[in-house]
Amino acid sequence: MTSTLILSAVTFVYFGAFLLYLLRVITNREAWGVAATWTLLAGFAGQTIALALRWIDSYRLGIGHAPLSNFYESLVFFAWATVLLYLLTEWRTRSRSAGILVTPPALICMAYASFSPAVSSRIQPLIPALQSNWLISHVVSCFLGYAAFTIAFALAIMSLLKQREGTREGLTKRFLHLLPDGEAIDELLYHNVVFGFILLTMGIVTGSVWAHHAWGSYWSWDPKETWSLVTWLIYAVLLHARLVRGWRGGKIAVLCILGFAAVLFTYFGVNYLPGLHSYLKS
Amino acid sequence: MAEPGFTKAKKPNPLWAFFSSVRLTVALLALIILLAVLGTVIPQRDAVMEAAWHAHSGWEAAMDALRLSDIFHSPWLHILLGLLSLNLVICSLNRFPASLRAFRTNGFVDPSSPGSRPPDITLPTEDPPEEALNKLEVLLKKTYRIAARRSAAGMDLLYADRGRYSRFGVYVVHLGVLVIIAGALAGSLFGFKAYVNLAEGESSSVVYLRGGQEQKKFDFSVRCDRFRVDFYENGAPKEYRSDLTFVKGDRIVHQGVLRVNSPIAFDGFRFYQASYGVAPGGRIDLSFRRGAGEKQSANLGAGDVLELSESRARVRIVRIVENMMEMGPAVKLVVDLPKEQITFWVFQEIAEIEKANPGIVRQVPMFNPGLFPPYVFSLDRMHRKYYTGLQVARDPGAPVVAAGAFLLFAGLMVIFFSGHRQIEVRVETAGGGTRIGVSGRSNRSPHSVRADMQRLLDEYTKANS
Repeated sequence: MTSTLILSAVTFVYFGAFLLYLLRVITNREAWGVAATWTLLAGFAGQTIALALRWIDSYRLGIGHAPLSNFYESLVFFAWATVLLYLLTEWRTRSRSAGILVTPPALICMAYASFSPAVSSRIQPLIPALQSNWLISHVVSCFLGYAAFTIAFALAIMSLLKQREGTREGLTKRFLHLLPDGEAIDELLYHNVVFGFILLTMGIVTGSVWAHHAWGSYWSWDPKETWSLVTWLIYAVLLHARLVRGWRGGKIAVLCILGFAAVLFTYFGVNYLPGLHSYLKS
Repeated sequence: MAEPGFTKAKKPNPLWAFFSSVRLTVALLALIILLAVLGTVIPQRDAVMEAAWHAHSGWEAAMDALRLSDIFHSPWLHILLGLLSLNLVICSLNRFPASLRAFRTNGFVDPSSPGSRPPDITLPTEDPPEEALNKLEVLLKKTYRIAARRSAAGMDLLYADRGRYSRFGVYVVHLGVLVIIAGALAGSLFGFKAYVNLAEGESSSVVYLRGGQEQKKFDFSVRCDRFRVDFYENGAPKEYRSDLTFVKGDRIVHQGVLRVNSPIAFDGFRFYQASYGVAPGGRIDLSFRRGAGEKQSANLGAGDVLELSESRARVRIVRIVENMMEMGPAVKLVVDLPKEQITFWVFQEIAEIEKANPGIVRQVPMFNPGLFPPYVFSLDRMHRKYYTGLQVARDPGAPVVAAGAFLLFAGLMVIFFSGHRQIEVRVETAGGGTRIGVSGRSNRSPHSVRADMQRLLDEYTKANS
């Protein structure tokens, strides 16, 4: 399939973008950052085209469905959503600092999807449980939410690093200096968490409605459901800590990292537990 | 939300203080998270698995005793949810008066009082105070709601705000959570989830709960007229469907096709296509040939007998197996002769099996379809008899939970996408001219209210030039 080939190529483009963001930090020249943005944008355009092609291909195979139905497709969509949200953030804030931290997760997802022998890139037909109009809204909202949490995670790392400014020398010092000030990072982190929280809520609600139709019960305490609730609760604690108790900076960053660990477990870890959400195993 | 400027005059009751603290909320949420995580790590006793024969090890017995093998139905979770609900209610009650005051407010702290701050931005103008205030009111009205206009301490004041309803967003979210918990409770008290397997043609008015330990009887019966499963080329199921008929008395009251993802609602119950399987009682097309004679065939079920009069033999169909030792469909035949009995298996895919395991028929005579010479048998086709696995559920809490989820989501949108922006304009005579002072406040986005204030003054200057 052409789309699979393009997606493997996109992996290398994202790697290139990562290297350029890295060069920007090492050389302290914004020209590298501009190149990085354009490279990332080119990769994103390629990935968008590949996703559309894959969708069209599935119709050509007579099993037409959105490319959101197995592990490979979810990894690719996760990377796509992360890059999309990052590019929007970069455009809105006019700061490229997070690029060096956000490109690796997208890159790792694409590389894992494209090159791991354990992940099948074949377009598979939908089993009866997945043949539902809820598939798209459920998967899109969940993964956009995960993507926002990924960016919030990168910002949390930045926030913790920024606190060490003044104690470091050399390259680290230059990198820390390039980061936006702590308050701006904190604000951006909060916005990403809010966006992710709303989308995760939507993902859980659409999933419940779907489960009510397909499984006969809106909530079954299946491990994926349970872990998505755990994730939701951790971010709920973060939002309360910030809005009610006025937490900022480091403590929020730590909660954000904890939340991201729960996101990762909800996405990957749960596959090792028995449950109803077994579509992602192949 | 923490509101500056309001102090609680109430005497602190320790119990009330305990239940109204956000620390308790965080502790409860942490405990719920812990339980939920345990629930995915400790093997949970599935309702279906709850059979009496389940062997108990010491560890499992301990988990059972602590109710950790069924965490999501355990008192632990119920207690935590109860405490969380109480905490939510009291927290909300505690904070509600302050929000109501902020909602009803029509001015900042009086400029003459000690708590008053100087305006955030000021602008001198030559307009007389009255006229300046009128112009500002017109400009503010475009995006804000004018709440009050008054005079105090020698200056004219104008108070305007927008998004005051966002003060209640948090209560809507909390109400949503409470409604969801209530709906879930109603579901677990008054709802049920049961299963029944129906072979094609079979009907039942009884369904089974908790792995068959309990039954529920309907005043109607449901019949499976037909079950069909289609597969994709790769062997994955494409669609399965049951044609169901609901019968009350002798009357057919409803007929419908049940598919995965499209349940049938009948008489307040919802029927779901949960599973399917092969039921005993399938039939086969068995054919045989006597030496070089003509091929004959018969359609037979388990227990049927085929008379071979030429040899005074009776061939009994003993077992029909869907997948015999991973080698596909097979049938076990017993040939009764006057003096002896011959038992052997006939595989449908015998040619492929022999190709994959050369000599298997000689090594395992039981697998030889020609073990009763001069006859050679073959299994031409298996007509499987399917059963459909139905799930029957009734959950009066589901609409309640849906309403709660709606409230929760609506409240979240209010909290995160709006905010109470307040602006107060003071106009006073200072020196020879008039001085305009603007102050602003926002519970959500201070920078947007700052931008609003700046725009107001910019527009004022522009209109005057």
